[in-house]
Amino acid sequence: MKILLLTTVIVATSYIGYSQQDDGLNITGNIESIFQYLNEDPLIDATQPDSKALINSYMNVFVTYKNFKAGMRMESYLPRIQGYPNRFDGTGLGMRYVGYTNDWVDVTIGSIYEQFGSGMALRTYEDRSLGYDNFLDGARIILRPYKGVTIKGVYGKQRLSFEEGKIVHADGIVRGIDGEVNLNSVIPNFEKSKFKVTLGGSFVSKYQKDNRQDLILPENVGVYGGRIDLRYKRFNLGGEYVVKGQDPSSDNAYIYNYGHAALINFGYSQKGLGIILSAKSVDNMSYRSDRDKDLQDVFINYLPAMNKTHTYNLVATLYPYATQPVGEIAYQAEVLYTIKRKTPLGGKYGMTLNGNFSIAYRPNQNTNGINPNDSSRVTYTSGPFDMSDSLYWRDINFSIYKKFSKKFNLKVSYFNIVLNNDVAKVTGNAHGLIKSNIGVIAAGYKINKKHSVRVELQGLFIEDDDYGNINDNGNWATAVIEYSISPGWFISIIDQYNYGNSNVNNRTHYLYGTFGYIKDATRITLGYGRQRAGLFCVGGVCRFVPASNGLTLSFTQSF
Amino acid sequence: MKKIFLILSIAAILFTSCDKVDNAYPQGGNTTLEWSLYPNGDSTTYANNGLWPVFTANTNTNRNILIEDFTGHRCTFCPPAATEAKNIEQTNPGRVFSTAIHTGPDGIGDFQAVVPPTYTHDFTCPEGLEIGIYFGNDWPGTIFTGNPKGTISRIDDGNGQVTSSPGNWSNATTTALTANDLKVNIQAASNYFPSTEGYFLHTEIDVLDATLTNDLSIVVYVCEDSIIKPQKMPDGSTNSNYIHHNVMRTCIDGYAFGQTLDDAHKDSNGKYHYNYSYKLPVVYNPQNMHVLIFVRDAVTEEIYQVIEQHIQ
Repeated sequence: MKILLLTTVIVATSYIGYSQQDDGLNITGNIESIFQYLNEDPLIDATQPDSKALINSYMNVFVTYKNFKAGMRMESYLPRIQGYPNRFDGTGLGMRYVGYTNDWVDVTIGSIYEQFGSGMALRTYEDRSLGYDNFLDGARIILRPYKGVTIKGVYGKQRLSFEEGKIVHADGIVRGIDGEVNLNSVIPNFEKSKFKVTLGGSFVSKYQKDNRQDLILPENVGVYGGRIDLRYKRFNLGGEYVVKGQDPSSDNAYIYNYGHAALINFGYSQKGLGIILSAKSVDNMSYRSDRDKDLQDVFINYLPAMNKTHTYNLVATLYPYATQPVGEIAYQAEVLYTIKRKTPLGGKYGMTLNGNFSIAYRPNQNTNGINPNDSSRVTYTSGPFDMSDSLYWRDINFSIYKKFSKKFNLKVSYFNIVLNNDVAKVTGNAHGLIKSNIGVIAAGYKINKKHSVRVELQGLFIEDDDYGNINDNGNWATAVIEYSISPGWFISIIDQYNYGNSNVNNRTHYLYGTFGYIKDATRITLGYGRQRAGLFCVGGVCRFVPASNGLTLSFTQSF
Repeated sequence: MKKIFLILSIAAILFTSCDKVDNAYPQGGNTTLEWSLYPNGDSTTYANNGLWPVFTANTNTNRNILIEDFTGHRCTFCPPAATEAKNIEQTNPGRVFSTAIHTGPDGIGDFQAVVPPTYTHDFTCPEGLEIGIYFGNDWPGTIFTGNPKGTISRIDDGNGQVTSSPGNWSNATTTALTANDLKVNIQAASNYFPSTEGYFLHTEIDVLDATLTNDLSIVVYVCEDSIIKPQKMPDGSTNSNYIHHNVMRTCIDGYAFGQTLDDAHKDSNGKYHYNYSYKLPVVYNPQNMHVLIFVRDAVTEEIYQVIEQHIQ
């Protein structure tokens, strides 16, 4: 496989000189390298690794030539930077594939990234910022036998880890098939209708040997479901429902319940107004190709996050919410409204209002008539959207953005967040619900054609715990200043200050400075300072990043 | 279009053919064990508390040897035989295990009989007597016509006999140990709960030699050590403080010749799992008790492997 891939890349590379003559050849890719030199900092529990310096490096190369395609990613962890899985080490091929595609067939052998529907049955993807990569190593075929009809089949083993420069696979095998039909394309006279209908169905199965002597484990575990997507003019309504067979695992304490998940999305959009309403019901839907793994290892499916991914420092990193695959019932509403220009409120440039609300509860687990200790190991029943009153998460936030002039803009945001730390644990210093209010003011000012400055002021105010004590680490404030000199230079300084910590000695400043240069597709960034320990989350998937103090140098290049 | 839906339907059937398990516990596990002997709950709690072992790869490469010493407390020549068995065992720690089975060729004979006022203790048990009668009466051309006799892993002496006199035990043991022909591997783990006198034994049997075609059985002897009771000595005297070692008291499941290894107890890796629950009679001190777990050939009677597991 490696030889085939390398040959493909070498051959393709040798054609670079001829690429202008042969339009069929296309080579793209990117390079990323992150270097850290870390110091001891006992105040924030930051440690210096034995090697003192750490480095992660990646290079993606994607080649297409006529109907052929190939891709690879070299990875290097010498050793891995902080926060990445500590088993990542060495240099080698972390991803590779070859394939062939034409109008009706697309075949890929090697590392496969794929998603069925919303991903609740199967989604393999890479998120480098999370150190997450669960691709399937195997084969995929996509058929397009008729216009509007797509059939996909995948078969492979998931990437679990990267050790000694080699991919390490999960124990189980994943098989899946997905079909999708766009009825407007298939049914005559329906093509020009403004009512658009797409139907889909997914079937995924994993196989893992029974590895326990005290239990009879199901070795083949299936997930199956259907979905529908309706669109009419400015409205869209989509839904998906999946069911999982018995899948005892370390996530669910090896119970033999079936799992199920439902997802409903409604959207409306017109110029100046966007509305999104979403609902999700999940019970026992952790689905991994190794039943004994945990954290973020080898998830076959992805349960879409029902909460907004925030970007402001204090909001995003102190109390983020990780999706609960074992069970949650969640709702989200988002409204984006732009007040027109040349109105009393809109002014010369208009004004944008954004409101977002998300909430998640524990599913209701009905145990009537069930003996949780009998030999079936079915411990409860739970229906879709059957929720208890146990709150996991609530986020009420809104923001107002207004451009006052060509030079000055302002964004004011408020966030009210409640997180159940007993379930979605983010800190060891609190129990139960953590309630916080966060305010952010962000202002941008363009000094002249080349110079601009941006300032953020953030405050996080945490409510006392049930006993009247300062909860967790108390209040925080953050100040950010960014100065840009176009086209390429930028510098920023951020200071997070834990001024409300109940322990006076821990009222720490986390000061971090960044200096960078961008030229075309090249970006070099140099950062130095303290970084707080915490969870880093993207789309409800999180990784823990330990505290650090030191220098970070990053280089990215696209081609 | 019909073809597509046909393909999808077939694929759906193939891929959704997921396993359904109505009883989560293996045979010989939850369904047959006496869970009232587990004081903290039932089988689920037992498993959830991590008491059910997960065996790792069995790295043992040695064949162990079992000496069955057919004896009796009124048998004057038996104490030297017991000493010989003990000496062989002590010379090969962890490789040789001995047990004293109080039986004659006809079961209870003069040597095993309870004769008051001195020999009041009954060392016999039904399973031990069944074994004695089998090798003493039923075995063709048997040489077990009186005590003491014994077996060395019931290995055929070349003349169709598996029993022998104590004078042969040492050489036979050495020969078997030297050959070290490991055909079956055994692992075991156990838990004892004093409040209920409940003992749970979990075993894993790995048949290494694929040429073994006869039925194999797993047998578990429950043995008591260091019983101080009268014993008739070679000089005709009675030693009232004689220490009786490794006396076979019963078989854990009541089967003198064990349970046949069958597919119902076979896991996906081809290993057999037999689990037992046993209530230790109150007369026994658990610290003096152990079990001998062995696998025998149901035709030749040869014992391919034996291990020892202490109850507490």
